[in-house]
Amino acid sequence: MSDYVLQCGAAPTAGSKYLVWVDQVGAFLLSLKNEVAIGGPAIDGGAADISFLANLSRRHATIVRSGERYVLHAQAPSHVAGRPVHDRSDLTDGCEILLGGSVRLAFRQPSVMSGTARIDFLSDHRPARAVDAIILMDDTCLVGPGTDKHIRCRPGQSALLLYRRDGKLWCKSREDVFVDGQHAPEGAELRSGSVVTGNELRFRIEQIG
Amino acid sequence: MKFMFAPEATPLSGYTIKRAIDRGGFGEVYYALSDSGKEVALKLLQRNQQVELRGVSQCLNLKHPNLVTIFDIKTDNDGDHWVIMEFVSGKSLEAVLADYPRGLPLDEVEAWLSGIAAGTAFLHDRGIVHRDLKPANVFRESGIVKIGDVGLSKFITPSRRSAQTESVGTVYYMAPEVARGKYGSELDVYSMGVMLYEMLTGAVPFTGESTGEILMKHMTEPPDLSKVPATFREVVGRALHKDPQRRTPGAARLLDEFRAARQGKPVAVDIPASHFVNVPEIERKAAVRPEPMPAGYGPRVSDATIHYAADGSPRAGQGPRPHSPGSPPPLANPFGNAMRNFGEGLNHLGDWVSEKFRKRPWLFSIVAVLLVVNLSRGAGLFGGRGGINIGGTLALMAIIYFTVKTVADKKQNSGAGRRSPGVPPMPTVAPVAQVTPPPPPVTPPKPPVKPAGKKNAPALTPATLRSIPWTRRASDLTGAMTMAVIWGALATALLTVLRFPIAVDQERALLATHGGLGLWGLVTILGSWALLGSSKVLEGSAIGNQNRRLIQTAIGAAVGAIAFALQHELLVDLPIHSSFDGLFNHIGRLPLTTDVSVDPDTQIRFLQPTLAGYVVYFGALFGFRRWWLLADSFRVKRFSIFSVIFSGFIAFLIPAAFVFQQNWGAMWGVAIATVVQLSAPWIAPAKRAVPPAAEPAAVAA
Repeated sequence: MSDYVLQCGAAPTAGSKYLVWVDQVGAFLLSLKNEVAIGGPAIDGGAADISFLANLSRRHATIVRSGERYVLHAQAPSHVAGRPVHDRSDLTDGCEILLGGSVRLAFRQPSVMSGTARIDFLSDHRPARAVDAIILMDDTCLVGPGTDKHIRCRPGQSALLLYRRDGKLWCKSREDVFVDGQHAPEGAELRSGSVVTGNELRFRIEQIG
Repeated sequence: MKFMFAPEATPLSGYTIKRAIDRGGFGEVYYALSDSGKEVALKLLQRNQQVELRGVSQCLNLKHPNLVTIFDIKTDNDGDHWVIMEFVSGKSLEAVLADYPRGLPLDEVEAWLSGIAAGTAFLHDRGIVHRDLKPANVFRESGIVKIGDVGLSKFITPSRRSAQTESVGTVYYMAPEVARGKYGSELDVYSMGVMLYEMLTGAVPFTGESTGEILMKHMTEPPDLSKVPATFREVVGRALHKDPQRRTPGAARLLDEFRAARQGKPVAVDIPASHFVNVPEIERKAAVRPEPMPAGYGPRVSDATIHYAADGSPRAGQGPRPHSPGSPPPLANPFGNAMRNFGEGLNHLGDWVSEKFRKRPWLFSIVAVLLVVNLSRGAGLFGGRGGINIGGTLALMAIIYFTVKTVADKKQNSGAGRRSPGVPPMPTVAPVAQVTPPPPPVTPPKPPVKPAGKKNAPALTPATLRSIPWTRRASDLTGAMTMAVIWGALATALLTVLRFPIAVDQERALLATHGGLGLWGLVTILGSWALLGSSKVLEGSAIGNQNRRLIQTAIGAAVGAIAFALQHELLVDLPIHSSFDGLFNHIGRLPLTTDVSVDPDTQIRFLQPTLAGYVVYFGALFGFRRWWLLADSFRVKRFSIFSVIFSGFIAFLIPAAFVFQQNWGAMWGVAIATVVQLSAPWIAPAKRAVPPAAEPAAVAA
C-alpha cells in the first residue's frame, strides 16, 4: 500500500478532510488523502475515513489514488461495474461500486484536466455526516457551473479552483472572489472556517480531519 | 444571491446554520444542525409573515409520510419567525428532471406522481390547498416522495374561495384561475398536471419571455399535448383544463387515471351534464369521449358501472358504455377498430342532426315535405334522368332514423326527469357486476346541480354580445373577402379537375366551358362575399335571428339577381330537365323557369331559371340557413364538415320547393359553406375574450 502513497504528490499538512458547505448547492466531503477507507459505523472508534450508515464492515473497502488511476481494494464483498472484486479493481469514470448488498456508489472523474474524483450516492445510504457527494481531491478541485466540475454549482454562480499549495488548501478564480471578506485576485489560503464568496456563490470550508 | 445569515450563524438558540438552501416566495431557507447534530431546515419568514404563519400553524400537526414534517415555529431575538422543518436530503424533482431532459421513465413518473398525489390528497382532505406545488418543492428520499413548503398552504373551505391578492405559486405551474384570484383545491390538480406533463416530456407546457406572457398562456392557450405520449394525452389534457370545474376531480383521481391509462385501460370521465351547457362541441368532445368497455374490465366500479348525471340518472354517451355480459368484446384488429370508429362517427353525425331537429321541429317538417317532393320527382342527385333517386331515398331513410331517435331520446329524457333527485337508479345494463355484486360507486351520486346558465358558460359563442370596433370589422371583412377569392378560385379549379362527377351530361358539358366555370366560380365568390359581409357587420350585435334571416334573404335575392345577370353576360344556359318540377314553379305570375332548348334526339325540353328563379332560390338559400354561425369569429370550429353537408343538403332540397337547377344549387351550397368557413377569421375558444365593459350575454336564440 505504501507504494501508492509514495507515487502521489505531497501529503496534506493542514488537514486531510474537509466539509464544504455551498449555499444553494449542497454539502461535500473533501478528502485530500490518497487512500480513503470506506466502511460502516463504528461506535467504539476505529471508524473508516468515510463511515456510512449502512450494513458494512468497519473497513469494507479502500480507494487508492495512484497517479491518475484509482483502484478499489476490497476488504469485504464488493462489486465494481457489476463484477465482484476479489482483491482490487480499477475504477473508471462512470462505473458503479456496490459495497455489501445495498450501498451503491457512482465513481466519476468529470474533468480530464484534473485527477480529482467524485463519488455520488446512488442508493439512499449516506455518511454519518450527511453530504451530497464525496470529493477525492488530487491537486485541484473545480467548483462552478457545468458538468465538468467536481462541485457543480448553479448557472450564474462563480467558477473557481481549489488547489493544493505548499501542503495547504488554496482557492483562486478569474472572477472576483473574496476569502473571509478579503479580495483575493491572486488566490488565498483557505483555513478551517473560511468563507469564500463570489458572484452568486458562497461556501464555507470546515476541517474535520 | 445574498442571504441574510452567514454560515455558523445561530439566530435560533440550539441551531447552527451551515448553509443556505434557497430563497422562496416567503423567505429564506437554511440547512442547520441542532446542537446535538440533528439536521433541520430553518425557514425564515420575511414577507407575508401573517399569511405564512396562519398556514403553517394549520399544518403544524399534520402527519403524513409524503409531506415534509414541520417540527416547530420559533421567534428569534429580533422578533423574526422561523419554521423548523424536517430536512430532506434526497434529490428534488427539479434536479431529477434536469437529469432527464426528454422526460422520466414511466416507472419514475408513477413513483413521483403517486407520492405527490397521496400527499396532496391528504392536504385536500384536511381542507388545505398547497398552492405552490412544483418540482422544486417535491423531494424523494429513501424512495419516499415528500412535498415541501406546506407552510405556504392556505387553509381553505368551499365557502372561503374568496379573492386572494397575494401572488400564489410559481408561474410555470400556476393554474389559470389564480389570475382571477378565486381558486380552490383544483389549483393543485392543475399544478400536478403541469408536473405530469413535464415528467412525461421534459418540458413545461407553457413558457414565455415574461411572467405575464406565461400567465396569459395558462389562461388562454391550450397545452400542446402532441408532445405527451398518446396514452396519457387525455389524462394530462383533463388535468390541465382551464375550467377548474371540468378539471380532473382530485389528486387521487389523477393518479388513478394515469395508472389506468398506463395499463391501457379506458379512462372514465365523470363530468356533470350541467357543465356541457353552451360549451362548444369541440370542447365537449375533448371532455367526453365514450369508450367501449371491455367485458371483465377491472374491479373499479367507477369504470365498470354507468355514470350518473346530476339528477342521478344514468347518462348514455358519457363515460364508458357498459357492455352487457353476453356482448362480445370490442374488436381488437385494425379493421374492426376502423369500422367501430366509422360507426361512432355516424353516431356523432346522427346525434348532431337529431339535436338540430329536436330544437327546431318546424325545420324537420319543412325538410320532410321537401324530401317527399324530391323523391316523387324521380330525378335528382345520384340519379340519372328518370332513374331511381338514391339521394332522396337515403335522405328519407335518414329522416325516419332521426325521427325514431328523437322520439326515443325524448322518452328517455322524460323518464329521467321523473326520477327523484339524488337517488341513484338501477343501472339499465348490468356490467361485469353480474358475476360479483356491484360495490357502491367510488364517486357517490352528486347532489342535483343547477344547470349552468349562460353566465356560467365557460366559452364564448357567436351568441355572445360584444363590441367590435368598425376598424376591426373592416379589416376582418377585407381579409375574409380576399381569402374568399382564393378559396373560390381553388374550388373552381378543383371542379375543373373533377369534372363535376355527379353532374348529368348537360351540366358536365356546361362546366367544360369557360362560361360555365366562370358563372359557377363567380357566383360562389359573390355569395361568399355577401354572407361574409352581412355576418361581419352584424357580428356580436343584439339583432335577433329572425331579423338576421330577413337581411340574409334580401342579400340572397340580390345575389340571385346578379347571378342571373352573369349568366346572361357569360352567354351560359343552365339547363333544367323538364321533368323536374317543384312545389312552386311560379311566384304569382312570375315563372321561375323558362324554355331554353329541346334535345333533338329525345325531344326532351330543357328549362333554365329566370330572374325570379335565381332571386327566389338564393333568397331561400340565404334565408333558410343561419349562415352567420359559419362566419362568426366565435364559431365552434374553424371548419365544420357537418355545416358543409347540411348546407349542401338545404341547397339540394330548396329546388323541390322552388324550381331551380338542383345539382348546381347543391354545389353552390356546399361551395359557399366551405369558402365562408375557410375565409372567415376564427378565434380559438381558449383565446376568446370580450372587453370588460361588455358583459357577456347571449342573444335570444
